[in-house]
Amino acid sequence: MADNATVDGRRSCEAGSRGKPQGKPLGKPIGRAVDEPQSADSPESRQRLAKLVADHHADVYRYALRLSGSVYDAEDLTQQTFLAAQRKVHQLRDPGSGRSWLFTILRHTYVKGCARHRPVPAASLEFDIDAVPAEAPEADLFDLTDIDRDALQVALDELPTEFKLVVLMFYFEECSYRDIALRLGLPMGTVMSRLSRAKGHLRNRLAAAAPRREVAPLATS
Amino acid sequence: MDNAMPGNASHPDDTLPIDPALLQQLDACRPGQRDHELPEMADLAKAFAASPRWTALRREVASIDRAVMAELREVDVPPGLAASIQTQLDEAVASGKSAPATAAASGAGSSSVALRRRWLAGSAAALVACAATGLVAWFAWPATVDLGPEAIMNLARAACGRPGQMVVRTSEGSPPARFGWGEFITARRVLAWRQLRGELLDRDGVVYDLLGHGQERATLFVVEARGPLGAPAVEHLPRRPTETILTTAGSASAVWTDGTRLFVLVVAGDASALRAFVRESGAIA
Repeated sequence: MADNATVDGRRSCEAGSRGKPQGKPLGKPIGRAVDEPQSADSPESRQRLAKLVADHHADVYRYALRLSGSVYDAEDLTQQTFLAAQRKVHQLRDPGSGRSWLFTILRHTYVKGCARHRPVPAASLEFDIDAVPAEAPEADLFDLTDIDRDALQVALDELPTEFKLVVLMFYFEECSYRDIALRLGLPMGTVMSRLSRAKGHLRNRLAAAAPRREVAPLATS
Repeated sequence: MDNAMPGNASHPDDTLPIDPALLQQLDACRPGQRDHELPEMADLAKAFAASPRWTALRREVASIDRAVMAELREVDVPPGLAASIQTQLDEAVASGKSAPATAAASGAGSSSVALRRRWLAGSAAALVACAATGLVAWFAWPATVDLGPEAIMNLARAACGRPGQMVVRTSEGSPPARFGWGEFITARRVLAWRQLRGELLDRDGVVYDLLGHGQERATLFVVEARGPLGAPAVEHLPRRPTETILTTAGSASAVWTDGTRLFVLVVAGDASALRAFVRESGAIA
């Protein structure tokens, strides 16, 4: 696969933030004066919100499901995200960043929910991320056309929240590690370390769940 | 896991154990992007150039990443979800639960009729509403982190890589006026600029690469002082760039705010190089 190809033609976190806004503008153009907020029940805000729901509810739900691991919690999280967005929709000046804005709200809603309902994340008690060795993947580790969906979600659910957030920002939002560091207010080294360990854990779990290919080791240390 | 590695053992390094630091860098690279060309990834780029083993690893990790990315999006969305969300939003508006605090506080954006209705609700009701809003905000609002000047400067410096050489491509048109330099910055010219959409502290803004009156280079971030929902809070920042200067090996940085905008200046060099970009008097540029 060419390394400079785009990923599924989707907008990445960075491309989404640097590229031109896609799709039709929502309501009035960007650049509204800072001291000119709109009420959430103004026709413009309602129109903006309706478009955000139409354009992004599916992606928000998918992200919520991957974060929460439960279809019920995902629906709840999605509803809460849009309700929170409704209160702040007047602050969204650039319609092109609506998806990223909703994802930010979703992440914070999820983290807040974790803190409220699970003061000590269960995953942290059962799973020690530090026990995951920093190992390179083996050649032809598993059949990439046949990833075990359940194993992937189980592996995600096993991750402590701070690791899950980083790995989903990488995979789902396609954020660079720099963007992740900036958005979460973390040092870049911390992001790299969490990302590598979380990805290593997913690879190990997926490899364990997949039927192994019959390949001879190419080199060993 | 056995250490079976992809690639042929044709290079002398191919028999050595994998360097965990390089593996972390590799895992930080997104498939299909040129993340490995960033300055802090120089060691990884060298490994790609020198070793077929690392080239093979790169392909392997990118393939797995692509497969995982695709699989993560394979989620069936419940039918009727959009309609159900919209219904809930309409109900929230009808019950008045969604009025933003900022609009109520400033009075801007609300009709005079709406304001009059609020007044007619009476002071007792307003007090109850304020208390309720406070409780809701306290318990339900996403947690925010309050970042101090040093943390902000560290984040901006980390984002910069090399001050004055951050912006790869200038955005189209002119920078939005609301993200202008402010009164304290002086520079010979703007080398490049681009819009920020949440990359720094989840805030919108503009980043400029500047050339000083000598040959100094700087990067200036101008973002909203107040971020969106859940963004890290920034309180108690200096009002002038020279109040808090952070110097590290090779760069100096300053952060300040004018109340509506947050400025972070990162300069290659020491504090005196930074001061070369600062108009001490604060005269309008």
